[in-house]
Amino acid sequence: MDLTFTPAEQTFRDEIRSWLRANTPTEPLKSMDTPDGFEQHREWEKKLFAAGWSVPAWPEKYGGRDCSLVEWLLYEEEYWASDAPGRVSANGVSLLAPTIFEFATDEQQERFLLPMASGEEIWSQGWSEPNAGSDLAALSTRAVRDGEWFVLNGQKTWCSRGAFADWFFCLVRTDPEAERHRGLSYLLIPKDTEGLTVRPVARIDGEPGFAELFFEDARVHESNLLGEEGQGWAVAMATTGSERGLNLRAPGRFMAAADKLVELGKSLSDPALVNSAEDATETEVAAGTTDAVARDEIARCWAESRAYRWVCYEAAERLAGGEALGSEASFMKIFWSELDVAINATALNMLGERAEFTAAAEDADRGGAWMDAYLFALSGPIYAGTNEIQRNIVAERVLGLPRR
Amino acid sequence: MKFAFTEEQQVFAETLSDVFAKRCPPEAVRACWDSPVGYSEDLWGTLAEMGVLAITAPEDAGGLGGDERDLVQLMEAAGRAAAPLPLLEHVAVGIPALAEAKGAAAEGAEGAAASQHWLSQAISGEALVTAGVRDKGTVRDKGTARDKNADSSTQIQYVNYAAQADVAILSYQGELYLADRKDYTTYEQPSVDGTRRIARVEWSPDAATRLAGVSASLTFDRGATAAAAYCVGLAQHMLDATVEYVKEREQFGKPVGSYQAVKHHLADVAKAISFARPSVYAAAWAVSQSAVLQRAGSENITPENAVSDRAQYVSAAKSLASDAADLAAAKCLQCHGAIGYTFEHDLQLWLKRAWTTSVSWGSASQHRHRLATLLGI
Repeated sequence: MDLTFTPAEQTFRDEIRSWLRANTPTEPLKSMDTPDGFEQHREWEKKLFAAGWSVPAWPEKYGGRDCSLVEWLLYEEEYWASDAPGRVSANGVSLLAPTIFEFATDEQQERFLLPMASGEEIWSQGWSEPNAGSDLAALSTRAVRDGEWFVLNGQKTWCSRGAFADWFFCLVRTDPEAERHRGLSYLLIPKDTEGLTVRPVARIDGEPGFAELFFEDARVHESNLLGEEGQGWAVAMATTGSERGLNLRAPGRFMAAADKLVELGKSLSDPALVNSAEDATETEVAAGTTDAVARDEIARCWAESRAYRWVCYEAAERLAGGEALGSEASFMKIFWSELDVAINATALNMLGERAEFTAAAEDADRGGAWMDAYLFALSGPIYAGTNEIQRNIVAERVLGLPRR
Repeated sequence: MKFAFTEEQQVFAETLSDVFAKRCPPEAVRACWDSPVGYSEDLWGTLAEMGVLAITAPEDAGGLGGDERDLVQLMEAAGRAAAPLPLLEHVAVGIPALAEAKGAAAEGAEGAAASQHWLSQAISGEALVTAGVRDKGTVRDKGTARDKNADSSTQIQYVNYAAQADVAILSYQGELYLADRKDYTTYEQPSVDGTRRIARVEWSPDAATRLAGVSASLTFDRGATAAAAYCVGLAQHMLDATVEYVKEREQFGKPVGSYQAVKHHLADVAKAISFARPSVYAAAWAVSQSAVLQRAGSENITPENAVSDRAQYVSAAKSLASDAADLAAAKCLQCHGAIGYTFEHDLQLWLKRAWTTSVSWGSASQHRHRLATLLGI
């Protein structure tokens, strides 16, 4: 056991660190869930791609650097520590791409991977339906064969980034007679498909971060079928492995958030904030305070962010050694999503009466970023399989408890 | 970046797991409740013969020259068995401190010469070493005077195996002292865990017995890391035993383990263990590196940074591991129901070890307090 980085790993880290230092936008971009903000984030993706930093873990021919998992974890640490913009391409790059690498034909890989890496084509996930959330296999959007085409009818919902995305990766029912997990297929669908209507839906923050998709006799060509017809469930589960495990949310994101929380804790316990004994109470309340409970919570969040780091480095080593991650990915999803909520809730608690300020408020700490991050974090325990579903998976597949 | 243990370390850990499985079943743990020393001297003798007591001693002192990375899985295995043995006090804390004091013998202090004598006795198992060490930010180490009227130089401390040991390493105001059994008085304090042998130790720090060149903070971190590993092992056993129980136990015509409320309790325990374990291993690594830096002087890292990094790793690990053990104890008792609340059922042996180990060498919140201080808050 040696937890120091090799010289090669350190060189890799230095390289991404200096690139980010030189290129990260100094002004924060607009929300990626607004029309302007979405395009700003797409431009950032193009810049990353041009420098070879949009998908470092991918093969070189698709714009990557073939880096190791450990290097990818380091890349993520540097990325989030630098305050670089959020990744508008994350759904494609982190969720769909691993599935494409595993199940797609050569033609499909050639067609889809490069534009995904470059930000030219941004992807959104179309899985959930009004009556199929946690019970995903209950989905009912129909796709009926018509020669080389599938004809789709039905509705998808809660599609993140869907309002402005270029493509959707969808799970549809091709065989209603088969057992419910076996009658599904995985289709890649362009937004300009005739018969597809995309309706933006405002998320809790009021921005159109979601979309609903309505299919009315929409025709999708069979060349856009990912994996075998009727094998959609197996293909989709490969995606959820990425979604719940290492790929979607690397520890660097939460390490950076915990570090910012430590900084907030330091700044709010700074005696210089208090001008005199008389106005101490007033000043403290206005500026927020780091009390003993907050201190305990900060330390817990910091320790957990590092715990997630070590879990991932340990897992990366096993993956590199040829082992599969499997159901333990469900542990990770529960852990990081609840940690993310805790980090931001702790910050808001300390900020006191400034907690509610949005980015429009002059006196908001970090431009209202804590409340924004809190609202975003609240989705974590829900998406990608609710944490209740994840706990069932852990209990049944890791611990071996009876299903019923 | 390499997380895996060496094959030798793996084999060693598995061998020790087998020894504990055979020689330390629940009946044996229970028997220690009534033993005067609180542990099986027979099993301790076997471990001494196997060289286990020599792991952390330097080769030039007749030891195996191992460090915390060699020890951490042994402590975890001991925790799984709830093995009541002075491994933490003697092997994880005592021997490395004696070895470091011996290394500083050139300074000629009495403590250094005595530690040389005790080191060889400790390695062979002829003598038992115990330790009571405090560090700033966990339990305040201001020293506690016995009472206002007594001789103000008399300090009190609560130390496991103090009455049974031949020699104790005690801390006072950030310094370590080597106290012969005859130099301190013990008053046994019965513990909720009948295998613990906690005593109030009354002693007077004597400058001549100070262990020069041994860091109290590093020594404390060795104890905290070993306790953290033991907590992970305790939690893992309680989880495994409870999973088996809820698969068998039926209510309303099916196993209670099929109910979501029970599943989610146990999933939370499994998650807490999975996230504590790598942090404990990382802490063991950090302690081993910090010790190397301390011996060799520093090259790339300033000693202050090395100490701070190590202590951060250790406090993060112990807080996570203590929380995992406490959560496992609470949830596993709940999932057992009334049978787990009986003295007859073996679960109580692990519960009590968990309650006592999670708070010794710094509780979860004490370590978070220390961590917050180290982070500059």
